Amino acid sequence: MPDSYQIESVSRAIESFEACIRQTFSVKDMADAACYSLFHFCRVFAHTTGLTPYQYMLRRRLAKAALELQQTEHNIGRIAVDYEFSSPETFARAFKRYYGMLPSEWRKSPRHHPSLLIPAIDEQLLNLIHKLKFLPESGDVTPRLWGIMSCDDGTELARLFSKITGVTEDIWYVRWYPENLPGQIYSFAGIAQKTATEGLVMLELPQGEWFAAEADAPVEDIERAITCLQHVFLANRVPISPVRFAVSSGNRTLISR
Amino acid sequence: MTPRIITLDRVVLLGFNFYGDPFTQSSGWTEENEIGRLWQRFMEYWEKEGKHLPYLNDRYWYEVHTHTPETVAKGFFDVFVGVEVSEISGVPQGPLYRALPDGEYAIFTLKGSVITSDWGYPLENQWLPQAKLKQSHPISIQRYDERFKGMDRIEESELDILIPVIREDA
Repeated sequence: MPDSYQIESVSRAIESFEACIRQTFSVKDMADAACYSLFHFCRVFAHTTGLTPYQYMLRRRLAKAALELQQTEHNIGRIAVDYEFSSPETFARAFKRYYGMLPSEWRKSPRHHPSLLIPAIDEQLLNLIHKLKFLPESGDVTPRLWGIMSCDDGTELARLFSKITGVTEDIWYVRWYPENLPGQIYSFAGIAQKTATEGLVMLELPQGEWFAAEADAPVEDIERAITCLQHVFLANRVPISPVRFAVSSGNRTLISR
Repeated sequence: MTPRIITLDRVVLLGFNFYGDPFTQSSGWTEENEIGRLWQRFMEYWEKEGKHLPYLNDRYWYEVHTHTPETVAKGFFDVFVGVEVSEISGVPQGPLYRALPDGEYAIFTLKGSVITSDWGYPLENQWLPQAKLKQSHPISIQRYDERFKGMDRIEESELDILIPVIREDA
């Protein structure tokens, strides 16, 4: 595990890159910002983030470009040049390798889920990533929950559920991102039980692979950390897929993948 | 740290080269990264063939890092590991020849845990400027000999870093 000095140095380097993401910026520039030699910096960066500095720079530039494709009508060639790709062809190849489609196809598709884009890594996120304790996957995901639901991020939902039902322990909190409604969030708070309770709605969690982690942090932060980890561990092997469900109970959070 | 100055003349190495990002799989000193694998490739060659060749001199073992605009931009590394040859004998099958630039070199001797620390940063920003030296070629060399006892005995080990230099006032 990296020490706090390494996390701080890497964060400083990332911050300097993020400020110049649309300018020529080398890995050596990042190393200088961290006050490390190039060689040592590359090792420490990979050890701290799971990515090499160049992979991070490339993925962040692709993420920013993907967002710009979605939100603007800028010419694809211009976006490529703005994010330091040597040509539209180089940009298209890198884009397809990472997102599984060409920039033009991405632009034509309906809105994409934000978890497809690697977030900027900062010190808080790095500290959280290294604090996450991963649990065996999927084994005890409770498939059927009964509770209340809302069409937002559900900040007050767990408290409201307790007020209605009197239940204060073992409450499951779920954020759900429907595949056919990108950008939309549904929230749910409830308990695991097999039989129906009047006035409560049932949510059936999908079977499949889950990240399961323990950490003393808000579910939003854990989601951000796990989104980041998805981009680290999965993105070298398969085109990444969006987060669909985030479920938490106490310090325990499960994220579908 | 004050360096010694030596002159190298016509040093040619035989060994293996890696170009790319060595830390995509592993970033630890003790784990396998691409530079570790490169050494393994060289050692396999050395055991099978190299040590039987009379024109190979294994007094020193070299790890040469070459910096180019691309390695600096992308954090890639151009690394060559090998030993000195006293003569160039035919075209080898597998290993490559690599000549070091002739001229003056500053030698910094690292001892103990400094070997695994980030000595590159003070070397570039303090040791060379304090000695009124400038790097003359974009390479740095780690030269291993019998004083290096291995990563598991790093506290007892010494390692020489060679940097081709010119004097600042030259």
